[in-house]
Amino acid sequence: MIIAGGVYVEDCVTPRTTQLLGSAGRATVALSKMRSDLELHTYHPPELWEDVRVNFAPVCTKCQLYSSNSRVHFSYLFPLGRPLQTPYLDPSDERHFVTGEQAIIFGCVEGDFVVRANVVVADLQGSTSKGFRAAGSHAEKLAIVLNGREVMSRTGKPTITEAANELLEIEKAEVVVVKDGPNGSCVFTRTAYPAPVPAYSSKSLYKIGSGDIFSAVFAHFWMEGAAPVAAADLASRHTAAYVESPSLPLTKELPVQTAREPKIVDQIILVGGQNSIKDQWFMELLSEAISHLGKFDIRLVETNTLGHQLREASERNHSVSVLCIAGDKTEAHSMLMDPIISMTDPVIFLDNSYEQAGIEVPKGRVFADLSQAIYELFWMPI
Amino acid sequence: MIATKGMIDMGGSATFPTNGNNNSSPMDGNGEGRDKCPKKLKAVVTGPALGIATGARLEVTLDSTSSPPRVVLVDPTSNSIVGSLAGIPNLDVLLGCLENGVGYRAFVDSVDGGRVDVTVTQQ
Repeated sequence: MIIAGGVYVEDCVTPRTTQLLGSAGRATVALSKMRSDLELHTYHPPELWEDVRVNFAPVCTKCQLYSSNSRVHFSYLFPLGRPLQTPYLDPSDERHFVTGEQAIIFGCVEGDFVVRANVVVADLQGSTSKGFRAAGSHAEKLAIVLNGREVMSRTGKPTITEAANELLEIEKAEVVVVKDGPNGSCVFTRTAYPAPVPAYSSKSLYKIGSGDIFSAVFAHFWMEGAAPVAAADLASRHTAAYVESPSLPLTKELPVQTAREPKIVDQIILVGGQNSIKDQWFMELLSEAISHLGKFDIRLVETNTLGHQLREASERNHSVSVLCIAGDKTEAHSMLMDPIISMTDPVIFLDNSYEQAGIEVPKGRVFADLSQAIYELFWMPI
Repeated sequence: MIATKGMIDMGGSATFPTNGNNNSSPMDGNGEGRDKCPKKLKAVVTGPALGIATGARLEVTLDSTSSPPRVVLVDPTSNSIVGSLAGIPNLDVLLGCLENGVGYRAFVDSVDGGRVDVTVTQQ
């Protein structure tokens, strides 16, 4: 199986991590215990080819490198945050051709891979190309994996269903899998009704590369003959296991997992201090990260204006999820005791000193993992 | 700069045979250049075995049965491989140092489910 895409340095502040993976590198290592036929195709500066070879050649049969000018870094403050890419690369006309029986193609900031293969899974996140076939690629059997925002922007259609059906036609694809973050994913085919696939529970959420894992696992099982929905379900389960404990390579064994029931959310209210640039910056950062998870209204409020905001949402029949940001124990404790906050269900606090401190939580759920807390906004409590 | 091995095409690409040897080295034959070897690095263990405990000390060695060699972590009490290092920037430099006799040990900083974080330190 060809795996073509980027190998990048990924830095994260919390949890502190520095890895050389990227979509293609991660997929290669991830599948290396499940398959022995992996070929990695990626871009890198020639002076760093040896580093890529040492990292990935032990787990694949071939490591094909194409010249680029710079090793690209993606820096995250936390896994759901928008990463900073350095250096920024202008859209490139760089193209390389890959040919094989089976292939996974990932979008790549250095250029495009044009593939000719019998069976292809294309994860075009980040790709600037107009589409798989428009870029000159060919597949007898094609599955496309992308998120809801991407599928709508690529087709110009207003709903995910319309956009996915349009993509099935344009790309002559057998399958389109639309990932929808905390809501799981939905499998679209030409012959069946759209099939939702749930997200599965995890105790923490290391989101960096979760989409790569989903695409890689889906590709592996689909190419092994699994039905699209079954392959997507296994992909969702492996993704949940990966985000809880980001350990590679993947193994076939999965922990016992519970599907998370999505919650209808019209409005997210972020409650936290806004008296300093630091606090405001953090609230804006959270708001930006959450805005990528769907279409809803996001309000930033302080504790003393939450009641007003809740009344307003109630008058409009808005379904609300509330995320409270506690800067320290004292603030968190006063939030917990606040009569208005305690009325909201669920209320999610973030101070990881809470559970350790043994403070009784009257209502709501407490999470030390910021990404996990954000995802919990969109799930019914277990 | 580390020398690049492999067949370089006119188009600026290279295919690396996976049965080749890695001859790159941050040091010359006299062992000079040890300063170029990393003193300390943090890594997430690839393919960690069950039973690794926080605070454990592991040996860092080369597994030359794979091609190219893998940098592996060995539990000295059982003398068994308990994981490897992959997906780490500048792993080629570390591998070259190990090939040239620079010793490393790994300290297990944390075990969180299947994720094992280590600090690798030059001896």
